Amino acid sequence: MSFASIFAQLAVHSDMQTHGLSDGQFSCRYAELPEVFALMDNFFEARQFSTTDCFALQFDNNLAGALVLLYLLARERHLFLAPKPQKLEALNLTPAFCRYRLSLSSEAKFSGDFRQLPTLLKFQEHPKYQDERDLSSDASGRLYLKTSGSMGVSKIVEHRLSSLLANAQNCVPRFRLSATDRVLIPVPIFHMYGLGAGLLPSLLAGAHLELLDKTNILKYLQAEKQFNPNVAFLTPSLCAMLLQGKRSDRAYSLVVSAGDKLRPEVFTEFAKRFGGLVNLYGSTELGAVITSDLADAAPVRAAYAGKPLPGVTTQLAPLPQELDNAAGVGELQLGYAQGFSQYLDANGRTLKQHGATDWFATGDLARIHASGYVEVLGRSGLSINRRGYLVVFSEVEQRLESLPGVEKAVLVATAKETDQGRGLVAFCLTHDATLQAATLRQACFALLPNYAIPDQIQLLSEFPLLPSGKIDRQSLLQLL
Amino acid sequence: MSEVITEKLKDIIAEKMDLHIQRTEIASDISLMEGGLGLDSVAIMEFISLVEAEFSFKFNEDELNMDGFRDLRTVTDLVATKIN
Repeated sequence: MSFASIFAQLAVHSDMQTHGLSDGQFSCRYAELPEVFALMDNFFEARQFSTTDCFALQFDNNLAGALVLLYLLARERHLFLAPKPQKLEALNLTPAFCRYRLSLSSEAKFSGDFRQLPTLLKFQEHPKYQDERDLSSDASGRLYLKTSGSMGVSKIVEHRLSSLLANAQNCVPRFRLSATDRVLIPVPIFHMYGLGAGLLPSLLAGAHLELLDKTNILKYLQAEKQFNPNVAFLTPSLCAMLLQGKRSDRAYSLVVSAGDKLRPEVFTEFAKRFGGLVNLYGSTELGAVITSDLADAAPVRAAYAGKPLPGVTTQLAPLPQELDNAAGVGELQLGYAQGFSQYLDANGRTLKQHGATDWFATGDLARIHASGYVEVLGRSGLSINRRGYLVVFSEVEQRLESLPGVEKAVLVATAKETDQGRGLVAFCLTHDATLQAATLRQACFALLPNYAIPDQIQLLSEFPLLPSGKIDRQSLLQLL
Repeated sequence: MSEVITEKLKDIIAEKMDLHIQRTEIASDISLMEGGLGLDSVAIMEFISLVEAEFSFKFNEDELNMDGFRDLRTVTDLVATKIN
């Protein structure tokens, strides 16, 4: 199976004649995809690109962007996607092995007529183009993504398109997606989650699809009303946004939440109001790997990341030191033949190969229960030993976030030793001017074991961010 | 009437929300999202709650859409129809 054959089937399947892809403004039926692709072929062939030229895509989360992406997948091209397209604006942030940056020309406006789409595309050659990739092994297409680099350094991850497809196929039965589903994707499809778990599995199932760009609560409510989805791919912050902003309850057959784990109380409330919620655990390197089945009871779905998808094997690497409260906890390692093939640098030089039988160290602490359920506790780099006990930062952060007025909490360890071990400082995001750090810390005594209580709490009205959009923990340390 | 509403909306934005924007910087047709105030979802919800509290009504879910909350003028119109 290839993307080309799957999209071709989608176009001729009689049950799906009316199905298609939209962005709220414009739409394209699956039956029209062959025509779009043929027009794009004319355009690409005229420019005589090499089959191994890599294109860095810069598109919004809309129909035009999706059609270009699907075309490049169908033609087994090499493509680079950045988590936030606007970050590519400075060409020097595009890896040098990407020969072209591909976007919609800014003067032209896409009118929804996909016949015009090829003429609206803009190619810019990379000013420092340098491609040192070793492409001798096979001729299949490649997908490149940047790791999010929450610890500062980001690398480029390479996937074979055949692996991307196999991973997407793996998701379809677990999510129970079918041609009758109406799937809303308000997360970026130029990111592993939106693409590999949302867009591609939904297309494989022949579902109706709608994309949402620059999602906010009003756009979401409007799309929900007009498109009437029964499936949505969200993040914990989008789930929280709906809980707060949506006034009436509504039954979804499936809502997938990926990213940080949802707090159990948020999960429970969301599932009660909106239906079939599941956590999804995955990564840029492996795609979607662990998620619940909708047949599982809601408390089980709330407590665990879920069960590994078919073909995914798990093991726990022991923690460096014996920790009293960490029975059964280890660093989660995953085996998956459909994962990434290597890490590259910006010139395309191999940093590290990843073979089909290699274990991938997730950097997350987890328990694996006898039932096969995986419970993910938090980042292993974001945990310390205090008085012989394991303190997982994400657990402390979740407790702090359960306090009124605390919108988000980030725990950092300082170099300074205290009686408890390394010092812990909690930075709490709040817009409540009456909130006091001392009161918050006092409240911690009822919520946390003594060894996990932050030595200091600081209130902030905004967090310093990395270019990836993640919180910059190093800068937080410098605030001390 | 609509001028009074617009002025009250400006008060909400400048004084009750943590947006670091001066009242004089707020045009009567300023966009609430991109290219204007740049409100995110949390700020949008806060704005909606403050408007509801100020004018003592509740929006229906159907009224919570991008057309009604595009800019200060559309919100003024929406509020005017709600309180009439």
